[in-house]
Amino acid sequence: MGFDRRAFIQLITGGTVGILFTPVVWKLLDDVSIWTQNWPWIPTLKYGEKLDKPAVSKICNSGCAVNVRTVAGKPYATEGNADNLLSQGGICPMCANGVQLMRSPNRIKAPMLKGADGQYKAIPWDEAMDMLAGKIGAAGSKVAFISGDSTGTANEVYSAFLRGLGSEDFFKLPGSEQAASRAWNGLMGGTGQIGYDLPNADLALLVGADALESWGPRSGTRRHSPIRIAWVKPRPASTSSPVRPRPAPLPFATSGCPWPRKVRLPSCWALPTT
Amino acid sequence: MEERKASKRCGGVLPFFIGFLLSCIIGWAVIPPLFYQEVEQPLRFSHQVHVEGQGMYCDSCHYFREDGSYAGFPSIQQCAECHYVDDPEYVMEAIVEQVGEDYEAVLDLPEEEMPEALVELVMSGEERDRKAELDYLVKFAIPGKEIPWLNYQYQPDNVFFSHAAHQNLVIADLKEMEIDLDGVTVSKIEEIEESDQNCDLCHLKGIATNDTPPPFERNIISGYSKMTMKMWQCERCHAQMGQVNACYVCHK
Repeated sequence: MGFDRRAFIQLITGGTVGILFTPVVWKLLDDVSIWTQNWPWIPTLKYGEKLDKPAVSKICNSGCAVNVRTVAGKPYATEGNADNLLSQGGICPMCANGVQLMRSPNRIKAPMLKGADGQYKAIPWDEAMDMLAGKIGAAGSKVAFISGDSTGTANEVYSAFLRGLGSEDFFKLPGSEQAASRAWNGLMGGTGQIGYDLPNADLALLVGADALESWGPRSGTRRHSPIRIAWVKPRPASTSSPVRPRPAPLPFATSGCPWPRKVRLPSCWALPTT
Repeated sequence: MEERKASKRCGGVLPFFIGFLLSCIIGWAVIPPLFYQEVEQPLRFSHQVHVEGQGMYCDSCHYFREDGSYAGFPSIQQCAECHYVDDPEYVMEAIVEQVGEDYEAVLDLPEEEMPEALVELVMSGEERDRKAELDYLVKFAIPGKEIPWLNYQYQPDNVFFSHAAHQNLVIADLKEMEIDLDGVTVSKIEEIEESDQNCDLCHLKGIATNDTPPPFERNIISGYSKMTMKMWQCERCHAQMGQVNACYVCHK
């Protein structure tokens, strides 16, 4: 009995038909389709215990009291902290997107060194620390520190560090807190930092002060506080947004003049626009 | 004409059937096991030692959290409730002093040559259990690393499975249940094995008293476990229990 070309083709044909009666082809198709779910660039979920961790956000000037929602220790969202007496759950749009900002591809994730060609390149943290330590060591006591954080307690660490080097040159970038601090600590003879208990005030007369957008837990104050606020300024801003309903402007009121909320002042205190 | 004769000589359709049979044998018996690769668990965890030896319960480690979510595998913090390492840095320093920076090399030493600070943490009596416990201590507890357990019942992210929704299933009921859905009868699932624990419906039978965890069988193409339940199995059980089988029930 010979085994010729025709027999070979019959054998292969039989094998091909036979394989269709086994799970191999169908299993292969199924596995390949599932494999497409597992490409390395497809994001995967984190599993673990969900916890809310209270924190104060430094993203906005308000310092929103937030709950950072975490799963397995990884943050995935922020929400207003309802237990915070000041904000009472209020959160501004910036802080509501705090985690997204943290994971933004636009963030600088490593120290950047400016090269001779003017271009920045990322360097390892160890290299940056060594470089910084070398520069500070060489400068001795002739070191100054300029902090962009006007309210953080980290400033105490920075200034103490400078003092250890023998320098008193610690500065903050100019801001409204400085003026308030000079007024309180200098002119009025007080000590410490000024705090504003807006929610428990009877009336806040804000002459040009964007109090609900420049400091404090503004969202909570705006949403929950029964405080009567009179706000006077020639142009509208976020602080004027709670004014409901808006009275019709007086004849002498300039365009965009926001009216006081709840309190009836004799007239709209408005400055003429220029 | 000569060629045709030759073909008849070798049996006509016989080669076809031989090829068919060979394919069937290879396709059913030889190839399917090749789809899977056996991978050992990162640690030889003995349920037997913990359940029978120490009198622990399933929910000592596998429990529902307050928010209803299921804890699944215990973290090393939970393990530390019994296997507590008071000063891991001190123990690590002692290990590094003995074997250098490659601290896992200490596991190759006989126990008598291991640092005392490490050996005194071991609570097991049997030699193989002491070895497993030393593995746990050196590889995970002391360096503070979570144990990358391999989940035999792994489900992908696009499947939402709630243990809470299934915790009251009774296998005996399920085995006898037959339901008529508008004229379509969903018959009993005969192949379900009897068990007192409804966990056994999906999980490895007898795992609760297992001494050495069986290897994880990983599909070499998809990466999934061989025991990963397929959608038709979920749907069959849902139909039998009269539950909705809409997509959104499991795919949120």
